[in-house]
Amino acid sequence: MKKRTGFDTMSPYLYPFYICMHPRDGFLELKANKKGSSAVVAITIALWLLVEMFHRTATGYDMNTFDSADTSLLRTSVVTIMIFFMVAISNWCFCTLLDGKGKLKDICVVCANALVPYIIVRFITVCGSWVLAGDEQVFLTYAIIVSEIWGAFIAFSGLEEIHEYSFAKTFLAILLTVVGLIIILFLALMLIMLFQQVYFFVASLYFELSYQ
Amino acid sequence: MRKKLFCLLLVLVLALSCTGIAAFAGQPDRAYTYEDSVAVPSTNIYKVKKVVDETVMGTERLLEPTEIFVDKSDRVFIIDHYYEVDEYGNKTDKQFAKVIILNKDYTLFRELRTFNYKDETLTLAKGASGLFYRETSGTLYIADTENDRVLVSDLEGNVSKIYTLPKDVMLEKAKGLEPKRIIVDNMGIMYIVTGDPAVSVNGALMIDSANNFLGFYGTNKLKQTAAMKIEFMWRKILTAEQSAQTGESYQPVAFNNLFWSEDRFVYGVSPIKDNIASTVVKLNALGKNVFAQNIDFYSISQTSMQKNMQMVDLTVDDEGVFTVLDSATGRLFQYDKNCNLLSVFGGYGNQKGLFLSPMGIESDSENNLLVLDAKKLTITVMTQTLYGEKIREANNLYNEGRYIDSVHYWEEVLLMNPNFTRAYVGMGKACLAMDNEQSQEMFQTGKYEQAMDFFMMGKDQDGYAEAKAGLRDEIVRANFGLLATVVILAMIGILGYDQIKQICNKIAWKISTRKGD
Repeated sequence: MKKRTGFDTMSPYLYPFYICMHPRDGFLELKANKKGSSAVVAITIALWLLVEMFHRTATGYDMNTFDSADTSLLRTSVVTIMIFFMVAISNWCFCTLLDGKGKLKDICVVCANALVPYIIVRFITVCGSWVLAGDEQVFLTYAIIVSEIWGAFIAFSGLEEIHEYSFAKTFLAILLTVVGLIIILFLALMLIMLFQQVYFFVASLYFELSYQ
Repeated sequence: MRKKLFCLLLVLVLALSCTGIAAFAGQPDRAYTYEDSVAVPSTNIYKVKKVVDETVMGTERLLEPTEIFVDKSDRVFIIDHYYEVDEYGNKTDKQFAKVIILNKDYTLFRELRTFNYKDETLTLAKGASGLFYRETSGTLYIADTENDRVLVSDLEGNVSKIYTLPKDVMLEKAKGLEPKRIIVDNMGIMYIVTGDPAVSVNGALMIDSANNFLGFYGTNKLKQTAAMKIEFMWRKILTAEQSAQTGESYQPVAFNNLFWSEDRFVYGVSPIKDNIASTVVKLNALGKNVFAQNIDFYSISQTSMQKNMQMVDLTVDDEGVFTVLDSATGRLFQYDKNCNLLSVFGGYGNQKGLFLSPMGIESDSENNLLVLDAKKLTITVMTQTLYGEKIREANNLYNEGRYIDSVHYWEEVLLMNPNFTRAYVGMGKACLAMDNEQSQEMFQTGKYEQAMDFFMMGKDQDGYAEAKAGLRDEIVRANFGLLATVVILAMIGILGYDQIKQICNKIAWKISTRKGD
């Protein structure tokens, strides 16, 4: 392993930026030195939620695809926090079966780090939407696409490193993660419907009794 | 004392306002528009002026009216039915169609029960449903549906010509002409909507005055739906016999009605179907739809309570404002000539201004709407309210590009109905057309800021982008020196970072060595 001066002494809050630029080395050293921080994960998710809210409410009117009057913090947190943990848990479920070396915490760290470029670029594009107008919107769209590809690359190399997988196996793991995501959503839907039916049963029982 | 006087005044004002409401109680106030498929209440755009029934017309009660037509001098033509009378003067069960012609004041001008053609006496079979009066020749074109013919008659009932199905290769499959609706253009070419399913899907039949078939006109464009794509996929796999059994047809549908407008365009309205791109079309001479956007009643019918909407007729006035009639719910949809929904009004019911089974709609020269109701057996004449007039005036100025002149009218429209988003768009366009001084005078802000506000309220993202670009250019132009300096300094800083660092280091080193001396 190449010796990198400064990495040991670097504050954990600056790792994500280092990993952004050097994903492979960054994750390798992160794992070797056990430098993954739950605080960083929490902050990243919080920032993601913030930037999503910012995106929904503060984007220039001509580029806002959301109805800013109809924005709900609850709904936004569902699409951020819940999806984050659903992805992490789904990946963890399959990778433990596929001899992955990463722990749930490591997976969370990888996911959080993969979000960093998106968060930064999204913030910049929202600010940019106040200045750019009309057809210039494509620049912002391109920036977002680049950030997403960048994030995907970070996630891919991160998972490869922490699970100590080959390229093909990582690919398989990611495919299975998507399948797992669908299974989780399906189970959640079933659970909600079950609870609803139980609720209606109890409620109707209560009403029937109260009418006696 | 003053307080008591004030109370008295208040009571008086309240009482007066109550009488005002009472005067309007005849017509239900339930107009609305659709915005992103959500119904938004709006002010009434039309009010009932007159209900024309048999007492006004001076005839016997209408029996089963099917079609209404209004000519340029506001004469009204109606197709109605009557029972055959036998030799003892008793009514039989057999019905025939007749044409009723009304004067401008809706009194009876003439009733045509029989027609003379070369010593023959002709009658119209039950179910005749097409009528067109051609001003230039003063002739009446009557689509005698069941008898498979079109009669051309003058107003006395003297038939000059009878058209039947022309002989043509493309019409070989057709059993008869079966004309349902008819319009005639300036050249005397007839556009006939036929009821024959073998040819009706191809569009209206174009037949010239010598009874030659010229071709099909205005075939409805199809839109691909998911069901259609799946069906096509199956058809690739299945054999011809198997796919013939699946049954579902994705052919275009025939027009429900056509309208000939004086600007030489043909408007057509079709049944609502998910694979028909636009329910209402404005066709040019080639039969191509020239509307900039599709009028999609399918999505409205899916979101509204009434899924069985039936657009049976439409009418267009001199300014291109068109009104589409839904016979199932009795509603009228009025659009301006750029396909913006102005208002939805009418409805199902017995009250004035509501309809039970409206069959036809026409507009007269004063922009009144005449709605023929086959169950109420009346013609309801609706006239524009002040609100409707203001919208019309504002729209006319807007379409002429006189945005600033239209501001005054849009403001009045908004006073009467703040929900009307089009008005905000009009105001926004006007702001963009103004000078900054004019805008300061009128709205106390710069023109671009004000325009952005208006476009946001009008939900016009393109307009907003235009105003924003204008504002940005204005700011950049005003602060160009400052911005250029910042940009140049930043570029120097980024590109020459190392060099600057070296120079700084050198200077620091020199200073430190000098101190050492």
